[in-house]
Amino acid sequence: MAVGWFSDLKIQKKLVLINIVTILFAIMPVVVAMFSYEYFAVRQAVLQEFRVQADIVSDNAAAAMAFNDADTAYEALSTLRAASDMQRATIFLPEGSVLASYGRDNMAANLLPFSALEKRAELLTWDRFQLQVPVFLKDNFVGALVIEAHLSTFYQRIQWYALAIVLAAAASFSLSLWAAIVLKRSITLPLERLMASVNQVTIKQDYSLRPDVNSRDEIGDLSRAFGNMMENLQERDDRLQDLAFYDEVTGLPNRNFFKERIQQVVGSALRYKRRSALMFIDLDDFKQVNDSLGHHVGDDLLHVVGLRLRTLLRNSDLVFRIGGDEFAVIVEHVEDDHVPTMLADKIIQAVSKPCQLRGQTVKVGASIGISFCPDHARDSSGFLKAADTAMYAAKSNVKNTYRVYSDNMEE
Amino acid sequence: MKTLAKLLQVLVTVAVSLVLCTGASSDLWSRDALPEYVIKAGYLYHFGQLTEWPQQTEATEFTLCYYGSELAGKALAGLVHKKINGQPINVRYIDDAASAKACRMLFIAETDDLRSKSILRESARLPVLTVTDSPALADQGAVIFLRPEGQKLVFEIDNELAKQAQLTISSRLLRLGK
Repeated sequence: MAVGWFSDLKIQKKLVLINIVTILFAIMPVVVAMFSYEYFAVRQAVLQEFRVQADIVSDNAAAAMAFNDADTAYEALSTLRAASDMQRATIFLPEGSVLASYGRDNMAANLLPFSALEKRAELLTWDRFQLQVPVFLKDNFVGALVIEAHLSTFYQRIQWYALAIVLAAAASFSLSLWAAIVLKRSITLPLERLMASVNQVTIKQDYSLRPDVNSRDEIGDLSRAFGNMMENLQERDDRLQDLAFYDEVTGLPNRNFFKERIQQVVGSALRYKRRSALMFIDLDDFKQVNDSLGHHVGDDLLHVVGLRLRTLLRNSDLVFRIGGDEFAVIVEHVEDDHVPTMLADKIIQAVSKPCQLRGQTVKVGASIGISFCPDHARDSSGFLKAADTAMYAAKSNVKNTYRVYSDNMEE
Repeated sequence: MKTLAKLLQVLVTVAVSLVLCTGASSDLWSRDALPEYVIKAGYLYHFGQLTEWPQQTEATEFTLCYYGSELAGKALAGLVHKKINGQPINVRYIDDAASAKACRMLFIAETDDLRSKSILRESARLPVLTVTDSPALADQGAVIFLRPEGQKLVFEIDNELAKQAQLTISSRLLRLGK
């Protein structure tokens, strides 16, 4: 449960959290140990001070106790005035009567012995310390001294010490946390950059982007692996693009490419008022070649036709293989109608030239239909249809010729 | 002799207990003389504890001599089981000056007769701590003079005399003297 909650956190927060927990685990025992040690050491020292004071007083009062001298005994007790924590003190004679009693701030109520007078005894509560000291004069029991002291000095000292420890712990905690946060950036920053570049790839659909992380650690490895993966993706994408838009036999753009392109051509012809011409080229007698000499020869022939078409065209003109023996040429920026018709002538001449394929002389012809946009059609399907109609007109007339579309060709 | 001492001891203890049961030291003096001497005996004991004598090699016991009231003797008998400076107390009655040189401490109780004075004079030259409770002898060479003051028993110490007798009295005791 807790682990699940933790694993949902961002790495940045995880790292900080781990650091905090680690630092606390490191600091807490030290703080506890130091404080406990100081607590007991200071308490021992303070209690020892009380004991020494009690011993001094009892030593001073011993003779007075032996001679029942209350005044001198009180004088001895009065020296406790110098010790601010000493609250009350009472001297008892051996039989239990009070010889003298001292109280700070006029608090003079007698203390009570809390054990047999001959026995040394101590009573420690959270705020006060009582001590009963039997008093001897040359080994002769002469009574007992009972003192009561507050532990305020002790608590004061401990308070300051606790404050110092807490401050020191806080300082070392914040220092190490600061260091951890700074160091953590070396992990999270490359991760963030990697993440950002992955997002960029998703948004822009551009597989050529590469993450800009060059460290030699795991994140660097991850980023390089990611880059390699993208490279593979890009290659595969290019390949798919080729398969989708290019014809394998001739290396020319295929029908898909042609359909997209014709839309753009019609669009820009209408928008910029530029005329474009479309030629449909159908090879005559291709079926016989294919049937008699085989597909391989047919394919080779198509390849040769493709090459010949390409050499004839300007760079701005486009040639496609749109079907089995059908080709199409798009000519943009047509200012003179003779340009496409002259081109059609050249194409017919080039295609009908015999060629040697696998030891055979092969000869085909070409029938070409030409249409103009926007003259004959204002959309791509009309444009295509017009060229197609013109092409069939050419084919049905005399083979190896071209026709420009005209309205009376309508079937 | 031993049984007598024992009996006395018991008596003294009973007496002390009685005094303590009354809970006050106030009217000690008027009621009975023995409790008064019990107190005085206690004082003598502590005097002995707080005084140093010059080295006396052959002494194996602490000889506490007295002269005068027999009550003092009875009270002092209560000290025989105690020790001073590690030496058992030996209580001894003397009635001539010549015997004084065997004493460490000499108590002259309630008398100021000629003999007491001559004993005192003799003791002044010896390392003997002389104590008296008779006012007439206070300035006749006794180192310590015990007297009642109000409800209490107090003492005066003549430290000059003590020094002459080669006695060193503890400052703690001197401080308590009037």
